[in-house]
Amino acid sequence: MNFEKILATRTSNIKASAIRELLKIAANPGMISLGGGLPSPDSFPLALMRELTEKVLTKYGAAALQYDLTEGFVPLRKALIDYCKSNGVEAKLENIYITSGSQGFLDCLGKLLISPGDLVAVEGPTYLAALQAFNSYEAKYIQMQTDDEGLVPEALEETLKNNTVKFVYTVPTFQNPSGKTIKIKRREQIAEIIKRYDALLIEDDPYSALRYSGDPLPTIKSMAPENVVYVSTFSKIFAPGLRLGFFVAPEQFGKWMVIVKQGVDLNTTTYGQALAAEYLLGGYLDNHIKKIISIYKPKLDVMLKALEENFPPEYKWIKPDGGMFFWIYGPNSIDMEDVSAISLSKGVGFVPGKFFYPNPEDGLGTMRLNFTNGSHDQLKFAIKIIADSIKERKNQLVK
Amino acid sequence: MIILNLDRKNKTPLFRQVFEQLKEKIDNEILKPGDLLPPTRTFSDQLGVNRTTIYKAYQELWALGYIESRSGSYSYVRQRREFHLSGKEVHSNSIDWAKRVNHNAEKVYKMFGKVNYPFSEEKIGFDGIDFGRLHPDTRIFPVKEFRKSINKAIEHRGATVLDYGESKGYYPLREYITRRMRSHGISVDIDEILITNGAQNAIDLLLRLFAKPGCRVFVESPTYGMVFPTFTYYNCEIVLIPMLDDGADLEAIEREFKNGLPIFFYTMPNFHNPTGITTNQEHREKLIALFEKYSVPIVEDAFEEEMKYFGKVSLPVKSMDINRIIIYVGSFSKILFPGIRLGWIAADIECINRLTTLKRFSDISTALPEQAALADFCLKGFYELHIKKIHKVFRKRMILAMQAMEQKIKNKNVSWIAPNGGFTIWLTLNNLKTGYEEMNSIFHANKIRVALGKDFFMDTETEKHLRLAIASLNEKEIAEGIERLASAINHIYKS
Repeated sequence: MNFEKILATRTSNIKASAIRELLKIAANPGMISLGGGLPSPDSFPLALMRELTEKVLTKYGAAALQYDLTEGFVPLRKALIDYCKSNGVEAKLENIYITSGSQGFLDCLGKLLISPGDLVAVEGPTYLAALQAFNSYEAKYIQMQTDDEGLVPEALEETLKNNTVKFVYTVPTFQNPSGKTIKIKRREQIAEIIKRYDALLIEDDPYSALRYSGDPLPTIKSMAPENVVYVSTFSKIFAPGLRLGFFVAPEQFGKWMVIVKQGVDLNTTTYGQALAAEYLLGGYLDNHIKKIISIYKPKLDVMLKALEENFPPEYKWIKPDGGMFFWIYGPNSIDMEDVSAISLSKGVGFVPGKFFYPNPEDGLGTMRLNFTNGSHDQLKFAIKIIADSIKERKNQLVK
Repeated sequence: MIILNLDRKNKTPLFRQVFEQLKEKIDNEILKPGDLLPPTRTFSDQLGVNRTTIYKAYQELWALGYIESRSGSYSYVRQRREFHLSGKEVHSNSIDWAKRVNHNAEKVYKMFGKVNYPFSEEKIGFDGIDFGRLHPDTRIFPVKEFRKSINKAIEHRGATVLDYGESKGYYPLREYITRRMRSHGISVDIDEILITNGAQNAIDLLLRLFAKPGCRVFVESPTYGMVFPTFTYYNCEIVLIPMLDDGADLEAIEREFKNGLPIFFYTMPNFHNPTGITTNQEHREKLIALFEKYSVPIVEDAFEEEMKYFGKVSLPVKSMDINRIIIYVGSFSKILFPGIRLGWIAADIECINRLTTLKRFSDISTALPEQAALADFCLKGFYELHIKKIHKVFRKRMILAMQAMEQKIKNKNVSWIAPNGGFTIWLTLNNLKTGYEEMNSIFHANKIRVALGKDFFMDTETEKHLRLAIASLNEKEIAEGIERLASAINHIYKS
């Protein structure tokens, strides 16, 4: 039967993403990809898994395999109280909820809040998978200006003054794709504006544990607890395959989300939650994060050096203090999609930055380069190839 | 000099004590903005604690914006903006959530927010005999075999089982499922399977794919209560098809077709939840012919396909699906265990590919270590062994339950359907004036819990019903529970 003709309009909005197509090519054997946002598989705590499995099945037994609360497995939520506290987020049990990855949170959020045509304020550029989750609910976007220190508070205020937005979405620390971090003074300004306009802000924080330099920063959540929902994930600090995310929110918001989540998947895998609980309770996290940082930090330095040595002077970047990405920006006259076509033909993939903007023409000269996945030699080689591809494209345009 | 009182016998870790006390001093302005804090080494010597203790306390103060460090060496108290921490105080300008949520979510909340689903907190911690929840019996979970399987999966597949996985699901698991389905006469390709977070996730994804505001969806009445909020969220007009003794009323379906075609018909041909009815081969053939004629998809929820104890074999409707109109939903939750949240959809590739895209944007994929462990579990033959085992166990339990009911429940007004498989027994209570609330308190007094009929209906019932689930009970508990049920029923009819 022809399913196409009976699809919901909501569904036909969803197109195959350009990035995915690019990543598909980049995944071919022999290709070096700086495209994904993926943690390096050698950063996963594989050796711990047997120990954690034993702990879980001894401690919780069959209960780890049974249905559980939609809110999330209580031992995990209790362990998260302490974890959140060390990240500057105060929470009680009734403020903490588990989701099927942070993507599962973004989806339930859209399902709860967005009616077709509702406005969502996002940074330009912003995290693409968030837009994809919200697209399913037919959101419209307002793109807020960012600079080297991330979201510009005046742009936020302007947005809230002139529009009715459902919520503001931001990744304030080591943002994907830009790697930028909002400094403390700005966070306070943002918190103050959000409170003054009685707005809701979603603070998505997957990367702050991956800090290689500089001091940790307070969360916006800690500055406006009633107006901010804080969301994070185990993907970067444990393993992405577990599909575990969590959020901290006022209890009333949490109760709403539970109703939505019941309809989506009843509860997130109990077994995986029990693993994560034992991972936190056993104190493995600190050591593991040290290990991850010891793998990623040298890679960042390798890429930085390669950029300095190879890239044309009109291309700029800011060395990130953490996370997984370098964000490069150059003149809008050269569309990075064209450059990526050339570099792909030479065996190197990366993501043109324009795909991360609700208005892509604002980011023609930008690109996102992942430094966590490749080996040192691959990173050096890839940067050289991309720099050559830029020069080649420049020459094509001159002719 | 900063003086702190550290209590080494206290359960609170030392770094936390240092943190709390410094925080208090800053909050009370004993330490003022610009004040220098001692270097970690000096301070740790002074307090006689480990240097990392001080370091950790400083880290937390940093994280909360209490202190800053100057050129990486000294830490000093920073001018901190006033803000309140969650839970302490509610702002006058905090958000009015009821106004913030969208129309569909609000509708679901108003209609179903008060219903206690078995996954909410209140249901946990009940110490009587629980016929209410359709949760499998934890005491017979094959935990040992699962442990072996997960260790094996990690050993053999390495880091790949911890990485992001394919949105469609783990290939070896999908491969096994196609094989298992073949033993039920269903033939699908590996790419025509999508792994979901249990059957609920499958139903939600199907609605994402098909539901348009105001569209019609056919369901049996009564049916699995959790589908009502889901259909309501997606703005469906829920068309109730009465369950007759031998399954959904096919004539009613044909009549309803004339009022407008639905996006699909959601049906449970085996051990229908809650009635326990299994349709016969003839009903299944008529059903598929009817939907083929109108070119409308059927969603066949086969969550307990393996659990037939008595009577003739009837093949899944999907096994007759030459025109590929059937979307088959399967689950490991009732047969194996539900906590790993694994189910699947089997349907035409055009349908599965679109569902996969929706799945990717909603949660990327189902959790991978669980899928890999289950694949290994199945490939090692543990799944088939377990099916045999619980089939035997529950066949016995169901026979016992039926005998106990025959013996104990003598009231002429009470009748029930003897199921030929599954875990549920559906009771009808005729000529009853007592309301559900009162009934519930009588059940409570008798230390049993049952599922109330109203949760399975969208409209009002003509008679009152109860659903007993024996899934989590052993023989002794079933016998005792039915005895209690019998006396509760006597009590109900007297009151």
